[in-house]
Amino acid sequence: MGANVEMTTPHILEVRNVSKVFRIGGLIFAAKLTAVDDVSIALRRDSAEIVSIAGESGCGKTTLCRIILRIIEPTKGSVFYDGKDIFRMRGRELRDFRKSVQPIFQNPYEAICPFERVDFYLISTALNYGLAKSKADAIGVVEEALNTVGLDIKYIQGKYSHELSGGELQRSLIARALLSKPRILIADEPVSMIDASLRMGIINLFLDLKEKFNMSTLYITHDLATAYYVSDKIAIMYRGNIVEYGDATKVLEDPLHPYTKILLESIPTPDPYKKWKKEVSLSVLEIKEFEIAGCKFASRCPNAREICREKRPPDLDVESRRVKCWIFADTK
Amino acid sequence: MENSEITKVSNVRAYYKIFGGGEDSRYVRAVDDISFSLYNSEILGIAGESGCGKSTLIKVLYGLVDPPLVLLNGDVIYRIGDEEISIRDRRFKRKVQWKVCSYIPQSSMSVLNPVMRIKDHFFKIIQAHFRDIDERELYEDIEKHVQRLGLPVEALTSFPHQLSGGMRQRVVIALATFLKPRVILADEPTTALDVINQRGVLQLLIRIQREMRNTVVIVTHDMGVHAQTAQRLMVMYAGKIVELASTEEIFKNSYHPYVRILIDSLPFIGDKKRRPSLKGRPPSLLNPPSGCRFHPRCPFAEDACKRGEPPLVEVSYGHYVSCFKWERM
Amino acid sequence: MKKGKTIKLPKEFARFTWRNKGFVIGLSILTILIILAFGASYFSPYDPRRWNTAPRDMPPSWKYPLGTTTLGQDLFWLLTWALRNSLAIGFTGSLTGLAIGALLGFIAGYRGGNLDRAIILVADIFIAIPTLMLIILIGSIIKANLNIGILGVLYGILTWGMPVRNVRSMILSLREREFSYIDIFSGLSTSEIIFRHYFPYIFPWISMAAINRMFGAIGAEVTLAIFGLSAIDEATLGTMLYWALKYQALLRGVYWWILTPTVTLMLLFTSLYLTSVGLNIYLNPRTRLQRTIGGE
Repeated sequence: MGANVEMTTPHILEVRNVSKVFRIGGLIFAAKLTAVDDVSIALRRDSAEIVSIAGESGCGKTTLCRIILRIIEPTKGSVFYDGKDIFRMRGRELRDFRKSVQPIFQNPYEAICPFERVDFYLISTALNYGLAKSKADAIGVVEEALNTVGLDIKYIQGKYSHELSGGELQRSLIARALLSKPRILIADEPVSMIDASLRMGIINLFLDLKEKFNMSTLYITHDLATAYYVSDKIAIMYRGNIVEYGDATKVLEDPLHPYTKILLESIPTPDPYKKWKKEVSLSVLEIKEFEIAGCKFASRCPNAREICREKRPPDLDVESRRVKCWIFADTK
Repeated sequence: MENSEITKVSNVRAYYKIFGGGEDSRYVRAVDDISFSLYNSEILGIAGESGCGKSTLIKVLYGLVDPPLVLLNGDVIYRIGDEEISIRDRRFKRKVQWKVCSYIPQSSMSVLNPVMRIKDHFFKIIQAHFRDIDERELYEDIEKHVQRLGLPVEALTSFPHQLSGGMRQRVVIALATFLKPRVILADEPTTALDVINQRGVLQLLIRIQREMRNTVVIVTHDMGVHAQTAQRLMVMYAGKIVELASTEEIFKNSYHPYVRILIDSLPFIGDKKRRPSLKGRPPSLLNPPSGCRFHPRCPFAEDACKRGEPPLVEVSYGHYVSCFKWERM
Repeated sequence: MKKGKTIKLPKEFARFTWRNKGFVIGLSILTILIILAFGASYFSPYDPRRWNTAPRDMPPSWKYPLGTTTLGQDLFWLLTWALRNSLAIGFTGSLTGLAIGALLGFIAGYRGGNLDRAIILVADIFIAIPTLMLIILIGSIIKANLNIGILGVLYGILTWGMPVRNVRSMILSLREREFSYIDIFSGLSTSEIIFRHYFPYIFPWISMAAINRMFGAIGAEVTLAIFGLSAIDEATLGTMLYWALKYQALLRGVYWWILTPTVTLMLLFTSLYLTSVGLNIYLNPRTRLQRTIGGE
């Protein structure tokens, strides 16, 4: 795999069977950690959509995000943007890729150099991607982008990252990402470090960007309620695998995979009239993590069977979504 | 039903003293004139976001007032039987901490010693408070205790790093509840855990409270956790209490604009309609806004809100609000 | 090459010096020594190295502030020349090695791959070489020809290994930080990234290393000179010690002769240390950011 696909594919971004294995430890006693295991996901070309990758910490979603951003190389599989293998891109093609696919990271204070002014990043991006020819033009373009995210350029000018609040800084960085008018935004937990009362303001931005500018977003999060609110499609990740992938409303209102079910049951619903009823069983709680054959969730799954512990479950199409679970193999 | 007061917090002002590089010392006004009561047999939630002072308040409740934190004003008094002990009392540490009132921090590793086995943690605590204990009997009690909390006995002979995060937090809860304290203070007990373990730990706390009929205070910014666990809920903003009422009242019938917007902005599965968001930036505790601390971000703010601080008034039974315009809501 | 200046420099610096008196003391002494070395030394009325330019074994007096040596040399002017030469060796040794090492470290860290492995291999070889021994060996062979210039450069050439490793590891860790990725996605050029964004992290280390390496360079010079393995006719702090020991100044009661270079060396090293520590507190990115954020 990995050949350049020259014809127009229906997907603007395609992740095909990507795996990433890390070797940790020294020269002799090294252990293998499979962070991402045979993951395939795609974003449509014809219409903008918001696809969430959701999972608990350690499930591999951040590693996957870095692979898609071409920051880490996968051990197996490929990522295609507009039909071209991103890991074979160089020069011009690579520059266009970075123009069209922009990141937003979790911690805005780490995302820019603390010794640098925030407007430097914005103006530089505008100039470097040819959106303005002079600094004066660049300022105009930057002002527009800042207004889109609800900020005033007069407020941001001359400030360093530590002079802005988390919400303001994250908005500024989203403005920076917007400048080159990307096709896709890759947002890695963009609001988890921001106060809950301010989150919606930023999350609503992603919805606005989809409607107004036809921008797709790959939204990575551990918060299923937020994922439900913002996304069209969702992929639930567990230990490097995508266990369920489909329409967000369907997956989250009517989950199929046992892990998705337990995950949804565990979310503390912010409604005191809808309290948890039964106590979660202890078998579901992990004792220790191991590398195992078979389905990775089998040791905690209330519906596990023999085959789950022995063989890796395949991806099955059930009810217009993809589920990685042996239970649904019978129904086929 | 006995619901007597077990702790009285009166006009507590707890600030952090900081030196701004050679200038006169300035204060971070983390807890600014707070008064409320804790009752027997209840779960109180303390909610609020970054810079509201809830973590500091919990430390004060536990008597952990060490520099740079200073207790400028006010007091916290615990009523144990007929005795009353204040946190300012020199005997507070020995008589109250861990025995009457225990503390569960956010990170289990602040409590657990990485080079000590779990059972030794128990022994160390017991030996600090009691003498002449039969070790074998004690060990049996410990085993029974941890099993009741859902931990395997093997956990006792393990080191902390051999247990997963969720298990460690349960161990910390076991340590904190072994001496059957009347008050358990939990500071973001599940923030570092994944969602499934979070539910396990929270259900454990609820069960403990039900069995021991004691008081549990849970501090967290996660409103979902409060909805599931708290019976009464106190919302803090910029070092002050803005609303205190039963959880149901807070979620369905709140009077304070901040609380209203906060609740309305929470997403949950089942409803995709657009939600509002608060504006502006979190308040500075170094230079809090004048008058009502929330006025710069409040959609209903008026002149009076800038000039005077609204008092905490009881607007219905057990429901307190600190807002000049509460009737408008 | 503009750096982002975060606060008004003079006011903050003034505040800093008030709270770090050690730094002020160290810097003052160092300044005095440098003025003696590179200012006063040019005003010497005679070549202080020449014997019998002054009466022998005179204790300190108005005419001869530090006294004279058994060889008939004015200790004060001799000291100024010795300081100049020793400091010159210190600067040369420190900076040549640092320049080579830092440059190669940058390249190795940023480029990676086989170039990185090659540079590291050579650097490790140089690190493994015992510097002082090799210098002593070379000194014992070429003795009087080991003059100031050569000694400084020699030290630099032998010690460029560690700076390579240090700079390389700093660059490696900076490359993994999220702002490096955002820099790339903002279209910044490699030199912009290194000189605008990495520089504030690396510069403090470089200035610290420059000062700290002087200990090694001057120490090497003194060690060689005491054993008579360098150009003993030159005036350096080490050679002063050599001659004073050779003529048994201590036993004969000519205390001012042996004490002058000793005390000067102590003052030099102490002031270097205090300056270096104070500079680190001031420039270290972590404390610097804490200061600016805390002081708002």
